[in-house]
Amino acid sequence: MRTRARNAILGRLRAATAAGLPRPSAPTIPRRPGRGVTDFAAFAGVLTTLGPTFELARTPEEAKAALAAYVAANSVKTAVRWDHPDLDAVAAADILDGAGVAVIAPEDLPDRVCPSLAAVDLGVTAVAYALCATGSLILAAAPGRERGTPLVPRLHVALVPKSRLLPDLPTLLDRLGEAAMPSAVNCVSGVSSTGDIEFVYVRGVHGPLAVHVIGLDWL
Amino acid sequence: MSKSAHDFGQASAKALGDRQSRAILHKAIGHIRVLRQRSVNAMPDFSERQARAVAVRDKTLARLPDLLETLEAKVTAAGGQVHFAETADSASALITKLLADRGVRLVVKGKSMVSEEIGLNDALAAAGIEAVETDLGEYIIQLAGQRPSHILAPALHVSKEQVSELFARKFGRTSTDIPEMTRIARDSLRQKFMAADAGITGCNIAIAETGTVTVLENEGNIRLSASCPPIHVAVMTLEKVVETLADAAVVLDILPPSATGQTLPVHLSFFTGARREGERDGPKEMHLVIVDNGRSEILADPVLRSILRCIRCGACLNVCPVYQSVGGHAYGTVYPGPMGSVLSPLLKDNPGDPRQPFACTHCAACAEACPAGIDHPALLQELRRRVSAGESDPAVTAFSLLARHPLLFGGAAALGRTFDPKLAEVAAVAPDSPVGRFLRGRAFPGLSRPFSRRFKSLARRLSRKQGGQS
Amino acid sequence: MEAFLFIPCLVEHVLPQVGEATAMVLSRVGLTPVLPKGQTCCGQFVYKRGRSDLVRPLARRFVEMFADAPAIVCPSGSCTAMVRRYPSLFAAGDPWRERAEAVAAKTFELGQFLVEQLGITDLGAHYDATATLHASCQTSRVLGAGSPTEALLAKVAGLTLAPLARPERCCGFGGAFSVDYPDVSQAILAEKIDDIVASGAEAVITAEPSCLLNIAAALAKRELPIRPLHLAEVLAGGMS
Repeated sequence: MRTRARNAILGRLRAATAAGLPRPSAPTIPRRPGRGVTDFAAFAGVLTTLGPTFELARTPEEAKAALAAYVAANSVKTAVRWDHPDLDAVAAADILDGAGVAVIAPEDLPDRVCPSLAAVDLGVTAVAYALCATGSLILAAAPGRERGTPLVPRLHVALVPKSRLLPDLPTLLDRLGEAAMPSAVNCVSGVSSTGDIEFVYVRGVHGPLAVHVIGLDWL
Repeated sequence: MSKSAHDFGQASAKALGDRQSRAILHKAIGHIRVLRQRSVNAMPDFSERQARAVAVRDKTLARLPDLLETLEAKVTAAGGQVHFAETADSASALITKLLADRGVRLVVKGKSMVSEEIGLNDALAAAGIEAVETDLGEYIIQLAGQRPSHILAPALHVSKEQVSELFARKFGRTSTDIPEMTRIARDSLRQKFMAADAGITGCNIAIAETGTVTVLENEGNIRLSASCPPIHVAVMTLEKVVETLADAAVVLDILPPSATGQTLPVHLSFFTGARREGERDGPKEMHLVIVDNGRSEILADPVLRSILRCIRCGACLNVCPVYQSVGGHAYGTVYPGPMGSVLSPLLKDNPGDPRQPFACTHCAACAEACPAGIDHPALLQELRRRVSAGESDPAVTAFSLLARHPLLFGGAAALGRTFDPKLAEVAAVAPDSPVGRFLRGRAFPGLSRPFSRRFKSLARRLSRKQGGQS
Repeated sequence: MEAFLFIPCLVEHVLPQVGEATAMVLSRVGLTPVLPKGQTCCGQFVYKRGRSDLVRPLARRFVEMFADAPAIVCPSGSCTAMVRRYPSLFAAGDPWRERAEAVAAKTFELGQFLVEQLGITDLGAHYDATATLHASCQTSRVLGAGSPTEALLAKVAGLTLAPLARPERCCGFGGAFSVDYPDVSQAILAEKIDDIVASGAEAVITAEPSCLLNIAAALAKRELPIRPLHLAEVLAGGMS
């Protein structure tokens, strides 16, 4: 039955395209990715207009202090984290633990991850990349890097090393083409928002209500 | 005139009577148009982006069967399953069976126009599966028992007071503060996300070479729907595919600015297959349902196929004077406005009013706004040609015959001159006749002594004057 | 040089003053206006009803009538656009297609003819008014002759142009649309009139007779003291 539908549809499409459809005659100017700047000033400039907050750490010590200060200021009692070398670089698990936060490591997560995170205050992640032109965080799923961690808790902290800054989305897609696609790649630009009631813009609909980015200037 | 279940004329007259909805619609559309214009103006290379996008869409359509086969192979390789559906009904039946077989009771849905097209919610409900719309606008529409009125902003026509009353009735929480109402919806929907057995989303762009489903949104509900439940079903119409990531980048260059005036939406997600070995979340099963519902036949149509370039940005709706005045419901179909007036009559199910292509002022604002280079006026003209080829139109035929004979044409006008003072009387006696309705807001100036009879003396005067000057 | 007048049926029977002004403007730039006899309708109304088959006889009449014209000038963007479409009504290889192409290539909307063919923007016209411009979808978007209108009006002495909100927006006429969907047409028109009133102008100018008639009829119904003017009437201003 399913094969029949498939073959019928593809058969009709083959017949429709057999003679070749007319191509546009006008030459198009090829896209030029990767011309833009890649520095924290440009990235943070855009990022902070979209809702997230940004803090630049010049050393691991500054990053640790920034993380500790953030959890203290936001009454974080529970947190979930990714397994990621960028988190290790700032000893994120130890800092959270030291600040009195109960930290859930990936291996502690139950079979259904999202419901278990519904009451968690904070998700701490790294990023695969960050885009300067659009202030975007690129989150890629992998073992130990759950999709729910930056999505379900009420707060999200992302650690962004300088070396992961890319100019823009076209450059990202070029990079993604170099390896197998992860099961999920999320390009997040700002804080979840809606304008669905009378076009009044409201932030914090479904994802985290606030996003904080710590730039790791030495990494 | 052909009979149809839906009559746009009647439905639009009714919509025009709803002053409150019109006022909200007006404000909202004005707002989106400003955002889009600002965003396009801020991109000095927008016309280059547009030209690239048109080239990518055309290249895609020319290679559609190959790309769909590649997509199928790559999704399968990434642990997903691909299903093809010929019609709206078979698509909704397929998805319903798939979910019922897996014991699914609760589904969370991201906004997807194709799921509206295939009538999925009704099919799921009939099978005892609760489907909850999770886009805030779509959720409001679902709670109110309505249909979307815009392809991007489904609750465009609903006032905050109406939302407030709806939420008070459904959740017992009262507020007219929009952020607070948004919070009420978040709390209610969160429980659904966490408990859902499956998530259903649409697909803005499918990338063949990687087997990737790309979705754009601001709220995050699609990300949750595709990430939390153990099953993810993505539904797409078959023309939504592109070949490569680079081609996707070209479409993404124009889609958010044309749709919402953003460079990128808050959430741009690339989902490729099911969760991988060692991953603790993401769907254990991922299904991609590819729906035809008439599109393979549109591709075979040499004149109308360019409607398949459409990327569903909604720009044509927002500039259309007819859509702006009557809103989406008057169209009686899932896809309203210019793109809908072309596409809907060509779909297998729910084609709407066959005379829809006539409900157009020929202003061409749609073609000017379209980032995918669709010439809606030309396509609507072709549809009008096809509809009228099969019917008699005595007024038009008589007019054409008269216009072939200047004496008759002039005679008819002379006759008109004697009668046109009576038009106002006709309008007064029969206010609902075509003449009466035409003259409701117009005072017709009446026919004059023809120009051609005045020309000779004018020409003499002008030539004397010219002679005098030289 | 002679310029052949292509007079739309709406101008012939309802707005003859627009035809007169067009002839005066052409005379003003040193041309001799010629009016071929037996003009009726270009077939636009029939075409938009989807009946290309009924337009073809009208197109053939037009092509024959204007075959020898050095230039064809029309005070309507939409009728000019219709004539430009004539070749598409005939199949490739049909001799009428070639003849229609030859005629279409020398058919111009008045403003387009003056600015793009003759290179004239300043006609020495004088018109004392504060006016707003209704660009007309057919003239500006479909025919692409919006900027000549603006260039010509910019040089009219005494004329002050007041900006119109949403200048790109349709007035709601659309030929048969206004009769088939009178309520929608009226709603779109009402908004256009509101915008015209809000501009504060004492006159509204357009290069399109259908829009002119539509807007004039609504202004008259509301008894508003705003003068509806065709581009040609403004350009003929100051001529005796």
